[in-house]
Amino acid sequence: MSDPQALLSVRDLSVSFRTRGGVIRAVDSVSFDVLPQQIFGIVGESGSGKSLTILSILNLIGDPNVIIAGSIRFGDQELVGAPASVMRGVRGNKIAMIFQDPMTALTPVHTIGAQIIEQIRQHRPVSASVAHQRMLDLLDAVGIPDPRQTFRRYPHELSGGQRQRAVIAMALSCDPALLLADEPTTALDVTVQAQILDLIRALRVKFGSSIILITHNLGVVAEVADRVAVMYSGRIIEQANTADLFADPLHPYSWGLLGSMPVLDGPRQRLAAIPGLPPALDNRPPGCAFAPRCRFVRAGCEIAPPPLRAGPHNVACIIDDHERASLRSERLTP
Amino acid sequence: MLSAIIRRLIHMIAVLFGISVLVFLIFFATPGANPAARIAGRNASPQTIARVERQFGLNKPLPVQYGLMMKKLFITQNLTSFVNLGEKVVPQVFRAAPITLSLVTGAAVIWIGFSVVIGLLAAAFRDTVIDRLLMILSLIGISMPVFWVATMANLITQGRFHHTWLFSWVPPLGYVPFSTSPLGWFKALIIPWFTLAILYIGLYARVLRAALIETMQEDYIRTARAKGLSERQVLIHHALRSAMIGIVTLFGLDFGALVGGGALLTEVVFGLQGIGYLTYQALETLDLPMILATVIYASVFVVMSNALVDILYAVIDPRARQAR
Repeated sequence: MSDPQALLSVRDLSVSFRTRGGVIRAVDSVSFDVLPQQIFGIVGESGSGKSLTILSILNLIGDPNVIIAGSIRFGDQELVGAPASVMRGVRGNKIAMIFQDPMTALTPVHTIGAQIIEQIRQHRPVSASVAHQRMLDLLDAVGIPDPRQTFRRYPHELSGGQRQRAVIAMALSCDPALLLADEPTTALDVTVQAQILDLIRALRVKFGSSIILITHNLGVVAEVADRVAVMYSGRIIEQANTADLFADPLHPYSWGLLGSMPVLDGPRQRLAAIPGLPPALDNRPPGCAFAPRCRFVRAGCEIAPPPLRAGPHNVACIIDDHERASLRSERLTP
Repeated sequence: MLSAIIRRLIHMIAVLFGISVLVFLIFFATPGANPAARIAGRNASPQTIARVERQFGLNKPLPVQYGLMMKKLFITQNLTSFVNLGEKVVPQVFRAAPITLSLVTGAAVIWIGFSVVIGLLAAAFRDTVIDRLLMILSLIGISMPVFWVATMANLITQGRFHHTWLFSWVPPLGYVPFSTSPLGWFKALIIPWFTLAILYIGLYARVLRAALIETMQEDYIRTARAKGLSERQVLIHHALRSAMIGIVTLFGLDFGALVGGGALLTEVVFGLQGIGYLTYQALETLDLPMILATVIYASVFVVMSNALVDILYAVIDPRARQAR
């Protein structure tokens, strides 16, 4: 089912941690493909495993007790189990990462210019002056005003939005084919969020990178992503092109997520919340992880995790399409 | 930056003034003690005590006494000891200071160098045999009393093995001024340097290891790894600078205290007549003017090295540059 054109192909990725109480599986059999120049969104609440999924792409989970299993193919390169020297050549060079909190993502004791140049010269055999010019161009490209002055600044001297732009400039410095963005706008205020999202969208055109965008903000996904995967308790429970997912969500959890989005026009009403909490990772039910909270739970749900339905719109739910239509209309008229 | 340094200097002078007043009050205004009798030393004749009272203006109000004392210490520099009659105190301090400075500065270079290397290695090989071994060695270094290490060093290099090829180069105990012979200076001090440094190597290596391991949990370390840097680059370029801040704080305090006389044990065992040695002798003979002078001298060094540390902070950490 792997797309031959895929830039990144993740198959049955599992991330587990050895703990005193046994092995805890935080990401469970996740599979997805990212096509060239695609913006792939991953949504899910805190603890759903979305950050671990993309950190494991670059093998950046620092915990010595982590076990990563499955396959992550990047082009013709297998990244799971790749030696450290290979990973160093990929990190920052072919796959770059933007982190959630720009306040803490830059080393406080170096100027932003120096940090960008460091990355360029790590991967490209260029002279200091070429790297310097490239750094200025990058800062300009991400919309930092007056790069010739700003590159001398230390991270603490810049605003959150400026820092995130600097982080993005750094991530782009070696023209990566894939950009991993871990909640890049969460720590920023709303107006800056919109600017950074515009920037990310523009960069795809300008730099031609694919982007994996992690967020818990459905609005962000709706705005920028081409394709979306919804994660719940370490598994992808639904995956579709963005328009399809928002027009016709198939999984009851996705219904709940979309139902909890405020609507600007239309009658004001209390936002619907999904009752209950996600299961603890060490105590996940044997069947569908969402079953204990699902309003439409039935006998088959609790036996085994439902398989992900093949096709362009994948869903891991045993409710069949006819029934789903009636359930949805029932949901919409509570 | 410059204005920050000037501000720091003014601050320093204010602190020094405060310390001098405090020290003065301890010596001259302690209730129930007669400062004249103390200054005059043990078994002083009534005439001597009377002379002391006149010289130090002890029948005048306290601020005048303070002024006279400071004048004797800093302006005329003719404060004299009554225990070693006629011996001027301030020139003695100035003679002893270069010896202590040589000893402590050399030791400081050694202990910073070694502790940074050991701390980095231990952090890089965290929880491996190498880490454990280095930390046990550090603990041993911290646990060995400096006077014992010094005595052992003397026993080996001056005694039993002095005539073997290994230690025949070791000069007799004592100090050789740098201006007389740089090589002689180095030879005379190399063993005292290491002896004094051992404790601090152990201490600083452990502190640095802990700071490095904490820094390695920071988000920006993950960013540095995501850039494709090697672990060594991450450790040295991104973690070490931040982790050094704790070390610099310790260094300011330790260096100041040692230069101010804290290297007493090392100085006494190696026969280096530095500030510590001077204080030790003054305490033995209850030579009050000498004690007063060395205490003031010590406080000058503690305050100065703290000011130096503040400037170093600004060099290491750009976030500290605009502070205050």
